[in-house]
Amino acid sequence: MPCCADVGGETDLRADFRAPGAEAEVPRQQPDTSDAGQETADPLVALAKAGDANAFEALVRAHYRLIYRVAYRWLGDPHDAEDVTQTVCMKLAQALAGYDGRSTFTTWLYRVTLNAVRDLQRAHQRRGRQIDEAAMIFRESVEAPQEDRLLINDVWRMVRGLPDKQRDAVLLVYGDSLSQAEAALVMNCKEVTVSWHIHNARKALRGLL
Amino acid sequence: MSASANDPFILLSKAPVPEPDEARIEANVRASRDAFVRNRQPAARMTTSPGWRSALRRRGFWRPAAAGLAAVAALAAIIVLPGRMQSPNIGPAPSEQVAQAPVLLTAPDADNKAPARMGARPAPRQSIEAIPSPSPRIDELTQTRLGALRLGYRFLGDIVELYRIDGEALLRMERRRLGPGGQLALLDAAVMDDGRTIAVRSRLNLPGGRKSETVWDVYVQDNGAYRFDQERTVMIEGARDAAEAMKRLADAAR
Repeated sequence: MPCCADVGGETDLRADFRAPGAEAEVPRQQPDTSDAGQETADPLVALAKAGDANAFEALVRAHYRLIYRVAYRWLGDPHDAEDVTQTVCMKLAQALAGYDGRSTFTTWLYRVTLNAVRDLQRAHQRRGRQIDEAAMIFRESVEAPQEDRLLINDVWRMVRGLPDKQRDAVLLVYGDSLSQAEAALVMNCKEVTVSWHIHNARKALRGLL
Repeated sequence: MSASANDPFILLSKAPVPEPDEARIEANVRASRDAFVRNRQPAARMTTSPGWRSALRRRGFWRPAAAGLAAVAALAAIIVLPGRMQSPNIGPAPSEQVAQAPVLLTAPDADNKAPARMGARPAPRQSIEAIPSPSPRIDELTQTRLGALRLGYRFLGDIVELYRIDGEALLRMERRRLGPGGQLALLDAAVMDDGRTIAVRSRLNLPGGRKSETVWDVYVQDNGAYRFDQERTVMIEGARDAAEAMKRLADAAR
């Protein structure tokens, strides 16, 4: 299955990598890895890897909102999300040559984006930036129904404060609606490890949520 | 009882994500494409240089070439400063301030949030997140020089964006929120002789006269921009001056 259907327009990713605003649902527990490793067959990726600048531009454009969405969910700040997106777009110009097709392009892109997120977080942590600053900004932009709003903010704030792997597992599976198998591919670990991280996250937040 | 009451994690996917800025999308996609094309060019040039090879074989080529190389070497000796630093740009740009450290970048205070050089003043109640920030041109930046570095900066409200200007290239270094009236003092800077690694010493002066610690930050050029390098930043923590910072980085690189 191709990773993107309309290269010139909105991100139109595979059904299991949901576009912004997609209906929330309970994350699927059944892994769907049938197309893992098939995305090198995507003509856009293959053309870009062969040096076609138009294909590369279309590839970046098609995935721009995915990168931005992941960055925003992890960081909670639109400016930081823009910075990470810019970094990833520039990185792709060089790193695409190293994409070997062993994972789907989208899985690989998640990894590149999460690395960029962590780089930015390290930079912020070093400068002693308050974690809550991001949560405050996020709070302003949340437009969920009033009854859920406070709870959503609390959940986001607490999840962002979890250790990296627990946070990644929870946000990939629940924030981005990936299956646990897909999250495992992004995190480069076993599916059972993802379950373990989520279990630990629940335990850590027990009593707070 | 709702599902979210049973499992609060389900709420995570309900939170909306704002739309990225359209102008920024276009700027980033274009910059990314340019970088992609640039990355591909050296390989192409390597395969189309028979003219140079035949010129090198000609006996008469070497006499003027030797004189040229000597001139370049003499120039390089002038440019490369003691302490493994170099100055990549000679002579200030017309609009450039030749500053003595520290260079003070002061954010507009709460009563004057208009970006210093961006023209459009945001509406009084407009949040800072809504201010668009497309990639600037060099002439849209305030330019200054700090040690071996030629820098450009601009304010977006109380956020300062810092760029290195290298010839005609504009390389983004970082963006920092200073807070209304906050001030970033750039104290010292140096460029490693690989030309890609730079170190900047700065201090954040918070509104109300509070000061944060003075820190060195190391940035490494990566695909048309600079990224903060945590590992090397730790290596030069507490360095007294640029020479010591450069020495530590050079020692670590050996």
